Amino acid sequence: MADNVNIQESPPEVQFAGVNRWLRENLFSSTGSAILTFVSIGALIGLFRSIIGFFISPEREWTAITYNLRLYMVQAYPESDFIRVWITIGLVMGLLGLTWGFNSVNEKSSLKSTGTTLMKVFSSLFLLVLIAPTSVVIDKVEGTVVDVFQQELRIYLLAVLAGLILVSYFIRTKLASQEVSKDYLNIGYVGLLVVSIWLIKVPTVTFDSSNVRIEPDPLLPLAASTKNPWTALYLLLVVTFFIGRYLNSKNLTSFKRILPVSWLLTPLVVVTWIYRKPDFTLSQITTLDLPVILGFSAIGYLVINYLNSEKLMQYQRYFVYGSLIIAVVVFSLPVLRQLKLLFFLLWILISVAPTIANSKESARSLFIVWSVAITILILLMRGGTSETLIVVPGSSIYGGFALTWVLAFFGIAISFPFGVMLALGRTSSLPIIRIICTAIIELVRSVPFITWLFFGSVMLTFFLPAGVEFDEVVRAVVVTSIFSAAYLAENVRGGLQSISKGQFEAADAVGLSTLQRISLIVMPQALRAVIPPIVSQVISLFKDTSLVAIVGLFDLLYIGSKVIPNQSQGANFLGTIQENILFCAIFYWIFTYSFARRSMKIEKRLGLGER
Amino acid sequence: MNKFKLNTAFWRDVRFLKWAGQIIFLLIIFNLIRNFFGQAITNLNATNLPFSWRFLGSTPGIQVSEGFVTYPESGLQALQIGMANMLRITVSGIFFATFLGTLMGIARLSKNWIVERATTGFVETVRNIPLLVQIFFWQAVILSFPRLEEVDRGQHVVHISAKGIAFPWLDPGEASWLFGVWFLLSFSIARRVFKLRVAKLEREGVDTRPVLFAIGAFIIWNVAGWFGGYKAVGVIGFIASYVSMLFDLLPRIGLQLTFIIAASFYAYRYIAREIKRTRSAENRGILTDDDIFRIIIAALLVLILIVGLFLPLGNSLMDFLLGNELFFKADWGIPQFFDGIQNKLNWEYSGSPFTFSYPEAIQAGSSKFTRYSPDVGKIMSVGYFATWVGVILYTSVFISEVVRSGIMAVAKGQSEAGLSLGLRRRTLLRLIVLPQALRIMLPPMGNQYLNLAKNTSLGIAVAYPEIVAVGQTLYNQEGQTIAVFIVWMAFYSTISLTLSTIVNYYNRKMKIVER
Repeated sequence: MADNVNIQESPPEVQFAGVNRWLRENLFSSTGSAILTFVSIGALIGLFRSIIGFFISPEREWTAITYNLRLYMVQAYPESDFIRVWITIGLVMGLLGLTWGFNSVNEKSSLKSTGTTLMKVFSSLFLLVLIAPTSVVIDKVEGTVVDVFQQELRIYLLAVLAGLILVSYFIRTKLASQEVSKDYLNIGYVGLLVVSIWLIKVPTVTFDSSNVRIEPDPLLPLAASTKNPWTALYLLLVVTFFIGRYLNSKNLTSFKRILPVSWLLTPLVVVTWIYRKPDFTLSQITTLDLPVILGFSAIGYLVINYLNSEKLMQYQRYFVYGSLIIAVVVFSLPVLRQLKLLFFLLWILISVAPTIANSKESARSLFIVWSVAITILILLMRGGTSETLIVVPGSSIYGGFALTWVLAFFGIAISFPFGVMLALGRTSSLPIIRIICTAIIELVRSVPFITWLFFGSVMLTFFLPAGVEFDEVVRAVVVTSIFSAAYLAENVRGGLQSISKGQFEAADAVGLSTLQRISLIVMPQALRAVIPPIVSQVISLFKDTSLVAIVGLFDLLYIGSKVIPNQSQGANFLGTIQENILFCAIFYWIFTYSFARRSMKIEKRLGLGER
Repeated sequence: MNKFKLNTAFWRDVRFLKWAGQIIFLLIIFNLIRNFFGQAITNLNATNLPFSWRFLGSTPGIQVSEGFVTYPESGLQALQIGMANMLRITVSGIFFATFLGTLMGIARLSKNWIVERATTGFVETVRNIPLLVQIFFWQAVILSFPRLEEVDRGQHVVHISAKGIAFPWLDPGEASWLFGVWFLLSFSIARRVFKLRVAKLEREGVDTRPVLFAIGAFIIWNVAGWFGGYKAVGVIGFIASYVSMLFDLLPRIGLQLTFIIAASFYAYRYIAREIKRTRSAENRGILTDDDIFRIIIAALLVLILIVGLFLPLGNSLMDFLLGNELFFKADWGIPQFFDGIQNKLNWEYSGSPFTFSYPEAIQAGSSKFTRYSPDVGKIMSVGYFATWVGVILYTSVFISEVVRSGIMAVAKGQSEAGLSLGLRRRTLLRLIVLPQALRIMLPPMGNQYLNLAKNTSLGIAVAYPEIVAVGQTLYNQEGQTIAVFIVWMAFYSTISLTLSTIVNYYNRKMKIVER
């Protein structure tokens, strides 16, 4: 029967109409177009020639970067504690692998597209090698010409690349029908990266026994001192990927909820416990924190199991008010900060417990969530409030690329709730709240970020009681989140305005309260609609973190533009500003570009931002 | 009669609850602000640096590396130099970024594969690198040029060195202001000619070449002006001298009060009318809260401006309010303003309004170093160059995205309809696609301009003395951090409010009138 024929949907095959026709349509469609083509080809060749010449000129001190990679990444973090950095990255890698494996949809990709990609990459490299200049001018005044690229080397490279192009052409044509899992392909690509840090050798600076720089600089693998940890991390990634896939096949839905929560918790755990070395004693935890945890777990148990019994149900309202009053009173008392927080959490638990814990099972899971949450919170606060044992010359243990991440993550994470609240305030029907929120948003947005950073670094201390002082990094995080919240509020407002009035009316019609209407009907739709602008705001915040270099925090850019070009001792990289700035530019570019591409793909797949 | 009455207790009435909640919220906010500022005042008093505006009047003893004055005689003047420097980059940056961005936006839609790929590559590169990195990069580029040496001394047409870029420039003569006004007039003349020719075209149906005529009128008018026609503008100066004399006859403070009252009255009437118009039945809800907020802020700023500008020293209101004796100099009144006009636009001035001069590298004073002469040609300093190029390129890639999406958002049927009417591609673009695309492009374009204005503040990283950099130098010297921050905030708010008002005005004007 014709009905039973299984027709698979597939995109229409695009016929390649031949080189001639492609050229005629895309490059030489008219006289003007032809002229434009020749002019731009000439300009591009000139541009790339000078860029390549710049990179391979003997004037360049690329060792300034290879020697200082550690400075770039973690600044002056002491070497004896590097294991903490590796555990940090390992944690993220493990989670990444789990998430990747768990969410893997087992997409297949034909080798044809892989072959095409490889061919594009190798052909571009081939062209670059072909046009690379043989000699460059050093010392612009004298005009000395130096040979930098021997003809033999060029021919050798061209031959190798031509071979690779042929291989990829073979993959493209002969193995086109073969299919591979996209995940394995990606694992393979990352694996290639790991192999390359073992194989690719770059010039570095080393010193002999009398601390004199050895000339000429020897070649060492790209990640000479870190290749072992990176390989181990790669293996961890692969293993966790398969674990994630196994868990997915077991259909563990609860794991689905654990993953985002652990992503949210990881940075907190990292900055309060792992990356720092909190100065705590075990006795503090056993004598102070453990009783608190146990006590509150017990209270939570009672609340969850007995508050929704019929006898107590009618007094629930008074429990809620009473616990709120207790929380406020405790908050104003000079007690442990942990307790202040816990009483507020208890108030929330009392308010929600009867609604959520309506069956035996849900009561049990709520109790587990409660105990785990307060345990983690107490431990986090213990780690965050105690001094760090890591001594760093300078002020803060956060520096280099690590600082960039800390600023970007906490800037966004803290600003998110505030941004949403400001947006709700701005669209509220209550005039005073609306005007105040509008004023806050507009005032924060009207001034450039750098003035806020100055505000944080110079002026914030004036507004705080005497004796209260924050670390520089904390102040930068505070102003970053204020700034980001105002921008986020505008994005969220856009989402709120896109929701039709009928939604509000429908929510009112079913008798939802304001809070329920906002949290169950409005916000989920509004936030979904504005995910693309929020993502682009995250990217721009990531770029904006480089501004802290102006107020003197040791971020990636500050190290590249100020610290390394002024290193006059030892390796002596005085004045290597061009190389370092270029490195920073490429480094930032890789991150922002790949993040933008990745998020664009995911948005497209999930159909976000469309309604 | 409806005698039905709800017996709700007032504390359960939702109206009462709403207002009570808001008022409590307001009180909390006020209390927070009061606490913060009270704390700040206590802390500042403890550090022996009480908050004051005094530094605006005293000589700060700092040097500003470039600007209309390099040794400011008051803190206020130092900040003004910073503002002027910031505006220099902003205005020229907006111009060039728009030009470049439009070009790139069109290139990204080009049918030519290589042009499209190259532009996309450029855009993707520039927009994914932080602006500050780019500014440092351009600084490094210009610093990699050779230093100014003795051999470079003498005149040049264009000269690039580690000190900056020197190029020829028009130096204003004494008649430059006269010619400037004449030049501005030429735009309205050209427009008038264009309108007349178009009217004739529509009346008689023959090609009257309006564009050609307009350009011709523009050129003829300016050429006539260059060789002496500008003297006609001197009439304004002549009138101004009489106005100035008239003002001198009047008692000062009464006049200023009259002005302020008149200005406030007209501002009030304007705002009231605007609100009435936009709240009317057919235009309901056009005036949003943001607009009201903007109007309030703008009115406040205008008020401050009026008070600041037109009240002279002595018993000035500002003085009374702030308790300082040195806030504004005496030469800020209305008569001085008209005197200034008379001074700039005097018909007795003669000679070429602008003269061409080439840059020259000279020996700097008694030292043996070489520098560019500040009197001839124009020197683009390293800081200016780095900030300018960085900001322009960074903004232009975002503008290119705006232009591209704007053009793409015009429905395809529109251009097909135009083509089927037999329009040429150029005419189609000009008459059908661009007007609709502009409408879509305007709000995001305004946002990009605002970003550009704010991004010029990164000049501080390459020692370009714009307002943030000058302000920082100033508070390092005087310790008045909070006052400087308030000045920053007021200045940037004024800029962004002005820009957004202009954009909103055009946006409203260009909006398609819907049913």
